[in-house]
Amino acid sequence: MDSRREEIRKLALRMLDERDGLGVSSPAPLGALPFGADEAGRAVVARAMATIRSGNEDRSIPRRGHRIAWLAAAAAALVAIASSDLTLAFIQRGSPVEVRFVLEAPEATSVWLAADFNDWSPSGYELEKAPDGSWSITVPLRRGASYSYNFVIDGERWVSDPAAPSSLDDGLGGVSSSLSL
Amino acid sequence: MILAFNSGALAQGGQGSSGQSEQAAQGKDQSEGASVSGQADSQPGRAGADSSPRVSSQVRSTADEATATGVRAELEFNRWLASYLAGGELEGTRSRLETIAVVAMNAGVPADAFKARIREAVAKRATPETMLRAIEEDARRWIWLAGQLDGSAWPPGDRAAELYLSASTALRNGVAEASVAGLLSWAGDTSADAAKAGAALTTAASLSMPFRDAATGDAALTLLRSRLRVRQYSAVVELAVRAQSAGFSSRRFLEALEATLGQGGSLRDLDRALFG
Repeated sequence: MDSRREEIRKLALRMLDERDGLGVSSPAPLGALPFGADEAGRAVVARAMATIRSGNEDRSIPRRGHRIAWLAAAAAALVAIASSDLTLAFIQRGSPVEVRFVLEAPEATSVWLAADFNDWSPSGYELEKAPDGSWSITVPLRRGASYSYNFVIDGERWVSDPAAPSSLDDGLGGVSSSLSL
Repeated sequence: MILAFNSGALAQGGQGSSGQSEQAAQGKDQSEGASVSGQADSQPGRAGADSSPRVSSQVRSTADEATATGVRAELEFNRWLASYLAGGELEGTRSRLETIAVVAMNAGVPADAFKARIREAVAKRATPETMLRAIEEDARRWIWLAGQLDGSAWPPGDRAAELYLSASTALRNGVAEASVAGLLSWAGDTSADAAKAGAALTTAASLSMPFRDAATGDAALTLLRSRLRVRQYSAVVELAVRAQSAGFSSRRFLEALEATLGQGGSLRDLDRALFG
């Protein structure tokens, strides 16, 4: 299980690097995409959500947190003076954050995650089923951007995330969920 | 040689575009060598404006490089498209897609924006008609966007496709062109983070969903100018959902957004302004 998670993480990080590079990544072979857009999958989905597993998402930062943030900023400024290139590179690339995508679909036999961060190819992004019927996968993503994604149920039904705050028309006859990090 | 690159052949695209581009690219490679020889520029008006042969050759060299880059990008895209669609159900759309993309790319639209949308359409098994309609609509929006960004060094090249995709998503989902134009203008002037600008655009589009209307006002610009981080944008949408449930109109919500986040306030300020 751990090795599989590590495999997924490596794949996701590689995709991120490609995305951060020239913005061009290798095309997925068509044969590996046996999916069709179908909103009927909504009936199968009971609940789903994408949660951020690590990273501080607390919206009410305590005062002490502010002090720590200021100290961190001051430290960052010193580092910037010492090595501006290093700091700039860090800021530009952003830090990865582990995002856990969860879909409750007890009747499904497989669930995949397809998103703009993996070129919409669910290859390697298969969710694992828990005994309670929920499916999940944890993917490292970079902060500071928004992402679009869908779940693919049983290899053919593309569904948006019912728990996501927003879903947008994808222009292709379906909707995609949106996530800001 | 320069005139060959300025011809309308590249903008016509279609079946013959690849061959024409190959010739243009080959010619370009030759002209790159010639452009540094100091020959007078043949374009009307420009020769007179250049005060010396050296300046003229520099101007031409820059123009040539830009054209060559465009031609190479077009060729690379056409090769990618042929390879990507080969043997698939959407192979019949290739010629039309090339035509659309060539016109758009000559207007300044990044090829990666097309690639991303084509990948999405293929993955979702869109029908050829649906895919072509979607790409055509995106291309129309992107060309408009390229016009807005014409002459601007913003966004950085490695973030351009991302911004184009976010902008077309926003426009498709109800954000007005005037709002997008306002955001682009401000973002360009301040060299804003392009990824954040894109996230602000898609979040603004999301704000219209709870209210079932397309009135998002200048929400995208308000978000981008605010001190919120991108990861807090989803919370703004959640507040919009709550506001709609509590009976607020989109106008009232947007007024509260501007009065709080637009004035340097926090999420908590917005929450208070809406719910006390």
